[in-house]
Amino acid sequence: MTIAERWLLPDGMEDVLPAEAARVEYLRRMLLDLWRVHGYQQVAPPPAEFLESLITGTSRDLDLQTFKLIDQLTGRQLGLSTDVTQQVARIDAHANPTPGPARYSYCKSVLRTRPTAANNQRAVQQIGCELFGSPVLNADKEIIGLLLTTLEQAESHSLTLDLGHMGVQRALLAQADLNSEEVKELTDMLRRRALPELAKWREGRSGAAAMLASLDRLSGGSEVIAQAKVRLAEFGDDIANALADLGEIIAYVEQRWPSVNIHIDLAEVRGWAYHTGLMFSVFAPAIGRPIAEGGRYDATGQVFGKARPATGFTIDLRGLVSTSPVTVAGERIFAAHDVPEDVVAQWRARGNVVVQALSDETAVLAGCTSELVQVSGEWRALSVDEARDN
Amino acid sequence: MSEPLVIALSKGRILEDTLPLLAAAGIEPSEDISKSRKLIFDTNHDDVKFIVIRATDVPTYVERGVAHMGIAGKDVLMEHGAQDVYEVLDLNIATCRLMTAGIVGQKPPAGRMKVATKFVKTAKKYFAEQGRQVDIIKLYGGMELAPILGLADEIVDIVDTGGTLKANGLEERELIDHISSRLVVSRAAYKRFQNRIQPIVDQLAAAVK
Repeated sequence: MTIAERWLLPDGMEDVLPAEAARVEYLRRMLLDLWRVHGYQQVAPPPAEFLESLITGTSRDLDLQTFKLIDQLTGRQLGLSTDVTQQVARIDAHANPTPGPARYSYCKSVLRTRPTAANNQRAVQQIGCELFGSPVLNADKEIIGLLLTTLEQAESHSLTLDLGHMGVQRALLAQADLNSEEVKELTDMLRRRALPELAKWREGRSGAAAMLASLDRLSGGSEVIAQAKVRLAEFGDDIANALADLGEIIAYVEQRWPSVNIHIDLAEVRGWAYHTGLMFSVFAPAIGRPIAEGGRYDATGQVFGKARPATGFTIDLRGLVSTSPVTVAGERIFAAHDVPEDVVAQWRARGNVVVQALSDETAVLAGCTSELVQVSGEWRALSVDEARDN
Repeated sequence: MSEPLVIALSKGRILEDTLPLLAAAGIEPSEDISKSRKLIFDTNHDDVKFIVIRATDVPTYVERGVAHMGIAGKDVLMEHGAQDVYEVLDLNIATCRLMTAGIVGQKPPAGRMKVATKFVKTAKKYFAEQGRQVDIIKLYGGMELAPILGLADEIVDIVDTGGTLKANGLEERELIDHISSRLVVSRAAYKRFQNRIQPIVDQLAAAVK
């Protein structure tokens, strides 16, 4: 084994080094504290579960994304969690049944077998909130509002909120009479927004099927809602209601967070298998992937014995850190090994970071920018240069 | 000034056909790209820049969001399999066909067939869809040589006029897909800047017709 084989990490796995780790931890605490005062209670699901509880749908993507191992105790297959949402849904449905609305928050690293193209990572620190037990629009509003408040506190700026509504697509799909092959083909084309292919696919089709393949035209600014109301009028009340909900959310966000750029996209098919209503993602400058995603998924708890209406969001914590200008004050003060212990303790008690020498190393070797020096009987923290001159 | 839109252009033949379209859409490089060794070019718009890169790299730049838009052949897009890239417009340039080809009159072998190509994923998927499992041999160029020397039974390659195949005693067999260049947009850029991107798409669409 060469030395490189010993220090190389697997693809998509990375150390978070002190400067970034400090900011990650600072934001993690800030977010969890903010959510706590909004009534969201933190939960911590386990790193591995039986595969059946992690992969509940028919999603082949999720199956491929899951690291698997054999449980030596039962002979059953275990999976490492790829997405905390599913685990929290299990907690809500089974481990912590609540009659009324339940609010949960979490922060957890998940592993995926394949790196996402946009950032090469296979280990993602997910932090987010889920709200179970309420089907009303106010629940969606609370979740989107909480997400935008969170991003505001993290001082992320120039954000785009992308909004869609699975109710529109589901209603059209129900009316379109397509077989599963056609649905798969259509989803793939919409996902790639392959407009030339979609145009070809529309030929010879009419009604809801043709409309599904023209949804790409219903994307843009908030004017899209008015256009959609006209173009989708013939497809029933479910769609009209979905558009009305979208309109209300847009008005709420525009009024409360005027600096957030809103993009409507009724052709968004991410989570087609999973979401049931309003869904959203947040994009920030210079990052090719969303820094936060979420939406309504009313059916997920079903497999655990209790389908509860649910909505929530997930933030990629390191993605958020990279967009946030928040800095952590990190001055490290050096104390030579002969500085009395009680002096060091006093300085630490005031919240200072004090590093005491183990032998005769200097402030610079200990990674400090200032040093405790006694000036006319009083202990003061001087910059390393000042301390040397003193 | 707003964040500039970066458009990734494929070097070579596609570039020659692309620039007139972009010019018709009102976007022109501020210097002659073919006479420069630069990789980033300003345009007549302050907020639009071109980067000129290898065709196969275009989906990578666009998928990762460092280029907002790009122009790449359908062959390259199929092979790359990019997930976060929208194919919004067929530019109808650099048209050709992705074909299988073999030595004139030669029958396919009884057992597993060997196929030489640079389109590894596309070829594997195509043959699997036909119900045939094949051994793929990755080559970077000069595909026609492989069947002649017995390295492979068939090749999968881009065919324009078919002249190279004929000159080497090969024949066209099956059509995998018609190829032309597409305008692609990164998913993130589409969400963030649709109001700036859509007019460019519309103007290019008008120029194509």
